[in-house]
Amino acid sequence: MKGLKELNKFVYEIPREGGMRVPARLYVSSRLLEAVEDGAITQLKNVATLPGIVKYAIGMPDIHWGYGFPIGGVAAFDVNDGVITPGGIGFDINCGVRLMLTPLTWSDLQSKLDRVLTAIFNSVPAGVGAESDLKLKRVDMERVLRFGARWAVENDMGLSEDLDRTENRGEMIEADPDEISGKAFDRGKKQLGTLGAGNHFIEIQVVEDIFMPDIARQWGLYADQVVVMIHTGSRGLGHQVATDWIKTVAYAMKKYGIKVPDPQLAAVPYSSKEGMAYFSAMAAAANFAWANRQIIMHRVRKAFVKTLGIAYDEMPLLYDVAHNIGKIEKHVVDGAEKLLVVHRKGATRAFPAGREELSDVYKETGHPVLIPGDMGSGSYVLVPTEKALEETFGSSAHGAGRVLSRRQALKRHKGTDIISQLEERGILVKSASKRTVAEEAPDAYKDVDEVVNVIDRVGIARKVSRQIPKGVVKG
Amino acid sequence: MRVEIKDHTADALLAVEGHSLEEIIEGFIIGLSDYVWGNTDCDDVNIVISLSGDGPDMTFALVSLLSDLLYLIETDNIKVVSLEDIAYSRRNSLVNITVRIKACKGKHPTGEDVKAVSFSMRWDVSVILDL
Repeated sequence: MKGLKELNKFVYEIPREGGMRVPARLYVSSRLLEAVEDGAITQLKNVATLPGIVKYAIGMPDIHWGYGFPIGGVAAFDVNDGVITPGGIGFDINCGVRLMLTPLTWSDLQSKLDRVLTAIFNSVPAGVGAESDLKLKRVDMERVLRFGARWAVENDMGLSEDLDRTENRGEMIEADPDEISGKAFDRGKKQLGTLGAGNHFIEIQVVEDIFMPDIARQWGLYADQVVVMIHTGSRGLGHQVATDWIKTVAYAMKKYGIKVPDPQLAAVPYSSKEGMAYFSAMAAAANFAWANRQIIMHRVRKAFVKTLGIAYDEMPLLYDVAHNIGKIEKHVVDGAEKLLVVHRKGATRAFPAGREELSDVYKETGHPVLIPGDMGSGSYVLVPTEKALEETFGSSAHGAGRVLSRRQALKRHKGTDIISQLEERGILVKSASKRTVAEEAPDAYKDVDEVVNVIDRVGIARKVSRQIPKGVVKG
Repeated sequence: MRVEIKDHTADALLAVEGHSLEEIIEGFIIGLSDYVWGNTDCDDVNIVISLSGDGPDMTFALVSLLSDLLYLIETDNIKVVSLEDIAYSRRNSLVNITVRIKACKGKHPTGEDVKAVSFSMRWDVSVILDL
């Protein structure tokens, strides 16, 4: 690829040119680099032009073309003179992943997989137009937006220790429901506790490989263990918040004299009235997403209790991480500590041991980083290192990243064929729509092993375990 | 009028060709509704709804209008049957598009799960060169 300077086997730099205020960096293998679209590189260079950006704009191994800002992108801006851009956080605010552990091994579950998967499928509304059975009044919605996962736990949909095992304890205190429009309320009130469609899923997985036995033991992971991964976000509410604020920010940008190379990167100073208000709205949507994943996990636990007779509290949450979010964090830049607005879009926080944001559970190890693959391949748990703080503002990749568009995947596959092929490989799929299954066919995604290997080899985070799917619920 | 969907890994481009601005706006409204609803029909009860969008330019106003339409599709399960009326204006650097649509109500759409509408970097403008 033209203009890329190879710093080492897995790190490439795009030197400053044109309006770029800082260089850009790509963390990829030569094989993944071949799949990176020129558009994604242009977007990364565009991000590097935004006011107040520090160090460099970062592309993770799963980088691909997104809305203005590439998916698999990370950028940090000084809170004093830098910007915030809704395009750098994405439409599905706090889309994220959580991993729940069980006391079961594969042999305990194998003969009952269909029953438990059906119970989960019946208790978690999934697919386009599926509505929640939770009927929330405005006052309840406001509490969800303010308190996030805590609201769910306080309403008997979880354990208090779940909060210690959730990024930010599942609650951004900056959230302000008053910054959420009536339309966003309307879209969200029927969707709390729903999975959605597209790439969102609930997967029953089995731990196949353990790479770091000590960390795995400390975290309660062991070979052949049954675990459950949940991937979803803030549903229509988050999308409406992003839609509303992209418009507001695009309007306001002019008065701050900010010019962006792409209207999708509309940005305002973080410290401006609009910047702070967007951050509060984004935080409220993030809280909605944490409550959503907490409620879904509660229903998954109940499905296991009902069908397998194990106790609710025998299924601890390992961790919940956001991968579309903006955060105010302290990082060292050029030897000095700075307060930054870190944008992670399709990127996972990766904080090693010792960070003040971590709960006591993960103070000594750093928090688990969760990287899901497609429904035919493995997912990973990793442990962050100091290098993540030094190089990527404490960030890692978030998944495999698509290589085929939905329509390309639909042309290539039939949902029923994919379900049969996966079944032959021992993976049971329950989906509200066969079309979604075709769109999400395994070959529509990059090789997650390659993505994770780059993260591991660069040393941003180390592989702890790899899980393979056994049962999949899709929208 | 030609309505085309060009999809990409993370999103899809809705592109419309027409002989007038009115026809292009109509193409976007019907195109979005059909894309979200897929082949699903809705009840034969026609209702008339007014929608408007505004912004500093026509693209902005169109995105705003289509975002409102998407909101109505998701929250009220409406499907656009036809366009009854279109008006647009420019006042004090603010472009406004107001439309009246005839719509019907269905159970829920079964087409594409469109979650948001936003700006495209693309501008296609045609001129004729006389040879």
